[in-house]
Amino acid sequence: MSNVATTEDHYTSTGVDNRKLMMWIFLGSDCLFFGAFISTYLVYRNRSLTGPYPNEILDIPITTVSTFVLLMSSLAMVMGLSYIQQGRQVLGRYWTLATALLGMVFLGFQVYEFSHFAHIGLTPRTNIFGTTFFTMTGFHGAHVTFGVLWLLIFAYSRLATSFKNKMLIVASFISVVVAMAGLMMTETLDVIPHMPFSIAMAVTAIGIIGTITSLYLLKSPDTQPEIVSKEEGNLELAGLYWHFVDIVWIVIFTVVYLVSAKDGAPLL
Amino acid sequence: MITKKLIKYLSLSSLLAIFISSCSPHHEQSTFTNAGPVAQAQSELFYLMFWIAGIIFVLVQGALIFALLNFRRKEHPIPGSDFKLPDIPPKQVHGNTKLEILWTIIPALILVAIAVPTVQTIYSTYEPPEGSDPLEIVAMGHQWWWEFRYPDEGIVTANELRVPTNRPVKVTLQSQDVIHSFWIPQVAGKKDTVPGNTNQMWFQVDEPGNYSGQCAEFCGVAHARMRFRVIAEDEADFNVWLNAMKTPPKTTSSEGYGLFLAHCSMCHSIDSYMNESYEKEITVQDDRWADWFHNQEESVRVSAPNLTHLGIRTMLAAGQKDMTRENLIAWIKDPSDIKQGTRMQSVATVYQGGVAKLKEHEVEAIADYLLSQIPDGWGSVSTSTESLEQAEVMVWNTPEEHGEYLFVNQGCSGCHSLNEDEVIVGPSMYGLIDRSDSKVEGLSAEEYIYQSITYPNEYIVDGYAANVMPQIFINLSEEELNALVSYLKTIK
Amino acid sequence: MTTISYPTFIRRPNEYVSGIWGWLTTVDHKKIGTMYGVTAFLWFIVGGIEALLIRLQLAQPEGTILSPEVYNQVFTMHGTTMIFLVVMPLSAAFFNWIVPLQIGARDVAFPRLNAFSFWAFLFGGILLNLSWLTGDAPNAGWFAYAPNTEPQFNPRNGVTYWILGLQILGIASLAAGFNFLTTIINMRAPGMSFMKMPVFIWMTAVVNVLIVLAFPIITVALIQLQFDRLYGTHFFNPTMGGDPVMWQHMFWLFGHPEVYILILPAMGIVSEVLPTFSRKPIYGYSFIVFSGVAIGFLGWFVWSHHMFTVGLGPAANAAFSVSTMAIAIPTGVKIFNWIGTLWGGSIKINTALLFSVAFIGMFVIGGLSGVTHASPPSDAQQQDTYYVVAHFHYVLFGGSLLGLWSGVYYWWPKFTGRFLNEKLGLWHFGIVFFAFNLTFFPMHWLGLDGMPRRVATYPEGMGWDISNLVSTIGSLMLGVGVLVFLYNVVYSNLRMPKTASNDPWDGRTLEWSIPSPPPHYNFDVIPDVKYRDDFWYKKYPELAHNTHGGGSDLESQEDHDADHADIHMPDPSYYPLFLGLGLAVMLGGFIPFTGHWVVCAVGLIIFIWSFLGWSYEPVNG
Repeated sequence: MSNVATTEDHYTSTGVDNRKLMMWIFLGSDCLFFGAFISTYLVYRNRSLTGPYPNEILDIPITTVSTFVLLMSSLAMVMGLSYIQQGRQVLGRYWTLATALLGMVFLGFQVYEFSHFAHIGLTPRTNIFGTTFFTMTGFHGAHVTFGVLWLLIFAYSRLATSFKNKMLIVASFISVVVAMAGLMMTETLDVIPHMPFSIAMAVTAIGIIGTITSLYLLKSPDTQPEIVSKEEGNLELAGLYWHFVDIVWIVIFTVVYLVSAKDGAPLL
Repeated sequence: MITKKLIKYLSLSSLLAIFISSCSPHHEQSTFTNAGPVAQAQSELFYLMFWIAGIIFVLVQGALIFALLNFRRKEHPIPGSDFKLPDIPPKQVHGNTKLEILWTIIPALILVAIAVPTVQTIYSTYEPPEGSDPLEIVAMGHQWWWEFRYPDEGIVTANELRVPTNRPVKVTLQSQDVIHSFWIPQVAGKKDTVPGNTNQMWFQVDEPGNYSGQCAEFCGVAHARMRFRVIAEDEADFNVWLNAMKTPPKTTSSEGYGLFLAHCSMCHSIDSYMNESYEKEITVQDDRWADWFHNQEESVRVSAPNLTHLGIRTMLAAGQKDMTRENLIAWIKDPSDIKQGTRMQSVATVYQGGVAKLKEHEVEAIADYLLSQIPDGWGSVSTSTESLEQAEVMVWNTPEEHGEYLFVNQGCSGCHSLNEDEVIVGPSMYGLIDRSDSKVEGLSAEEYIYQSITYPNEYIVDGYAANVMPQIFINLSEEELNALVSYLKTIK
Repeated sequence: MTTISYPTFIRRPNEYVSGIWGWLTTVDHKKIGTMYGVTAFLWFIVGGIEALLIRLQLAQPEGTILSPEVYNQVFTMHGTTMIFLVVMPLSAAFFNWIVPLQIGARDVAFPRLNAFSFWAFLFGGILLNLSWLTGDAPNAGWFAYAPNTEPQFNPRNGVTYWILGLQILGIASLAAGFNFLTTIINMRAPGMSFMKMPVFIWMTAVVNVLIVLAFPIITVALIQLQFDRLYGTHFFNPTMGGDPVMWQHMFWLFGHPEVYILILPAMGIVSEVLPTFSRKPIYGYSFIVFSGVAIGFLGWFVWSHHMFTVGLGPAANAAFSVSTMAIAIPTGVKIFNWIGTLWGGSIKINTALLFSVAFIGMFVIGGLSGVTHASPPSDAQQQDTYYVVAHFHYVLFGGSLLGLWSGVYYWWPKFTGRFLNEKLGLWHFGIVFFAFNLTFFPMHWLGLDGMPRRVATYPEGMGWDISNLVSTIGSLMLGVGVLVFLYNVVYSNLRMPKTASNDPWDGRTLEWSIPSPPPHYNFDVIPDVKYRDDFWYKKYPELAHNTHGGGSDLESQEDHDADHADIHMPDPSYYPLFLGLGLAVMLGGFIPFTGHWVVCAVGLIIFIWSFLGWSYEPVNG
């Protein structure tokens, strides 16, 4: 992510940084990647020979919430980049971390959704809806996962210098995972089965307390503003990627949860 | 020097190619010999483009070679260098917009001249002419043979398509397995058979005769061996054939019949001359296919060519060999020798992946039986030199004795052993009586055995698949069925 | 850059290392180009042997040299190898060598990514060909039509090797595509506007746009096929509602732009060779450039002409027929302009020029036969016959390969400082040209005579025997022609002295302004570009008046410091090699052999390790 060796560090024909230009080209290419998955989904609408069909299984309210979470992460990304550009490390770090953690929450929703669908009998093998739905949303989830890792590694290596703060970033990540794991142990979500309610609640509580504590302790700055603002270019790359992945989700959300949500058995 | 060589090579290679093409013997699949209006229309379009292309070819290559020869560098050596340069560079021409526009527009106009008849021909060759009364057939591509159905006539046959001349034939194209392509070069261009989709095409043959066809889409191991023959006859002859296909054969039983039932009948139907046999054949074919598709490891059957009236077909193994006794025997013995990859050998129990586990005389008996499948009254065609033996009239002392004869000659023994715990395909008959009365509530042992012969799918013994046993024994007489039951009760 | 120290797992080699490590760790575009070229030529020999096996099997009716199953594997691997392991990487070799030199740059935008592309290509090719060792080579054609590739019909691992091998090659091509587009857009020398770029650079740009946009589609299609084969999904399974035609749409939506990915680099090369040896500027520069762009654009709207017999209906066939014919117009414009370039020139006839001229001649034949199957009714007789085989060999062998060979003879002195032997070169050209026509011309007849493609054998008495025999003889002669070329390369490198000057052909573009072979930093001074064919007008300023593409006056070059000791190139790196290796091992680990998840995990570890190492590696060790 850093020090990509360029022979011409300053001069470019267009004035745009090489890496930024390449990110745009990559995103153009990725459009076709998701375009192919989304087209497949659309072409295969109403072709499932057996259930469950979309109208029996899609839960629009829950996905609306997860979509909102992902959109908020894009807002956080904008805020993070803005503060980093101003050299304000603590706020920039908080917002960047918030982006990653909101992304993780979105992924948590996806884990729940997949596991819930599997419980009520929809897997990629069940029918053509399952086949297209899981691959399309799964590869989107993989993109989000990569973005989360990118942002976390960036925050760890570039937005914290002291050992304490680096560890706090790791701790906040682990705490969010623990909190979500705790929620998934409950019978309502039932992703991790056979757990007593008390344990589930305890794990969740530990996770939430850990998240709050580690984020609270991250309030002290440890890097010089001028060094922080040098990272602007690096964060902007991650930002471009993150916004793109968000936009793709909006398309997928529209296509799956709005357009095809009422699809039932094919009318033969 | 070089350019002369170039010209020499160019002319030499094209001369050679023309020579080669003119001295080859038969051209069964030549697209230049058009036997019907569809191929004719397609050819005309090709000729139009060919001549236009020919003119462009001559002009462009001419200009290229002329430029190469005419504008060669006149070189002067440069002192102190190995390289030679002319004194003055040629005139530095950068282009000419008028010329550019010209050579954009002229090709565009030529392409319009091609595109208009193209689009016309697309539509004119898509549907049979209005007001005609096309013969409707269904062509099913299978790995690696062709099934032809005549839904209006209730006829199913394989690898040999009989059509009337001077009447459009409308073909519905389907496939159960992979994509194939139906192509009779002299009659019409190809169209794919795509599983899950249904395609349409039509053709018409002008003159009676045999026309060679071949699968044109790569479809697996034996793709090259997936041929078929179209036999075009005038309307009267064609109607004779139609009627013949619905007439029973001269002989229905012989020594080979039992062997056929035992070893072949799971996949091959042979009695589709009967009423309502068309629907039955289609259902059974689908069952055979589904059986193999969903459980390839254990399935002992797969969809296979209908052999009804095989004796009047002219070729075997999807157009690979002439239908002679020797070829048929060789085919039955070791199908891979003629068509490598055929499912006949990998699926049927009698092969177990190798040559047929049959004795020489058994193979001959099956071949003779198949060749004797000639519709009653089909006079002019005689394919087998062997005289066909009539079944002897037999007298039975006891029903058990009669049953034993039927057990062997109706093919039961091909799948059911008489030895304890030996499984050929179906369960062993050993000790059948002892376990029969408890199988189905309300049925006595005799009733259960009777039902299992006539309606085998009513009760399936654990560990065996449904739809494997042929459902044809209901055609036996009451006396024969009772004889079989009596015999089976004695096996202990 | 910062005071923070980052972990470095392996230090970069400090100096410009030599020997084997120099090659393994290089990030120099010229060395990478050489490795691409050499590797692609080795694959060319493999693919050529496969071609000869095909021809030997078909020399006579009922041939028994190969069993049908092995024949299917051989023709599948021949097509796949020639497309993905030969023509594409040979083109990439020229991109690597020539693009920075022609645009006046010291390297590509991302040198390590460039090295990674090469290693991924190498390991992807190896994975694909490993399938031979398991006896399970891919056997479903380079087009891998479903459902013949679905697990029910193709349960063995061959097609899975094919999927994962292509996936790796696709990643390599995509990385190279991002890299070259960035390089061409962003790293042109000052003053070189888009309309002053050499035509080869334009064609490279178009090709890489096509790569960047077309490969994601095949990536998705391959993922879908892989999931069908390994994880029980139903994308192309008609019994569960999937549609095999969907595979064809996705494959050809990639596959047709791929055709232009294969031919446009050769068109770019020819557009450099002809002006140089005619001592004239390219005729109708902007028309040649825009027709190339138009071909790249229209190439997206013609994919269904590969599917005229699938049954898309008359309206779709008519529409795709017309759009396909439309592509003939820009192609024609290119050909006319090439002839226009020769016209009135001062033509130096040598091997490089002859290959370029032969390219035009053969490509015209391929183009004209292409028009005959742009028409669906006519194509109904030609689709899947040897006529089509003849057509695309005239375009891909007669076109791409002859064009690439022209480039080899043209730029060899720049690559090595030595000339290829001209006499051997003429023999090479003569034999290849004659044998090529002998091999592929009779196939036109065979196809129209009704011989289908992809048949492992054919019966006697069809009238196909002699043509097939002639074609086989031609293919053996082609083999001889390739051996002559190989001998020429070896002979020239051992025997020919390093006599090539900076500018042996009186060239026109920037690569001829620097030594042969170039120093690793390419340009002492990054040139200021005033004109299209800038170097030519620097040599012949008196010709510069009244030229198209002349620019405003730029500041002179005297400000630049000519001391190249200050030029700092990025140090070599180990990570591209390991990242490529990790990728190939990881994806190879998806092939379901015993214990494959262990292999996959090992690959993943190598991949992550080298990814992180790469990210934290400083510019200089």
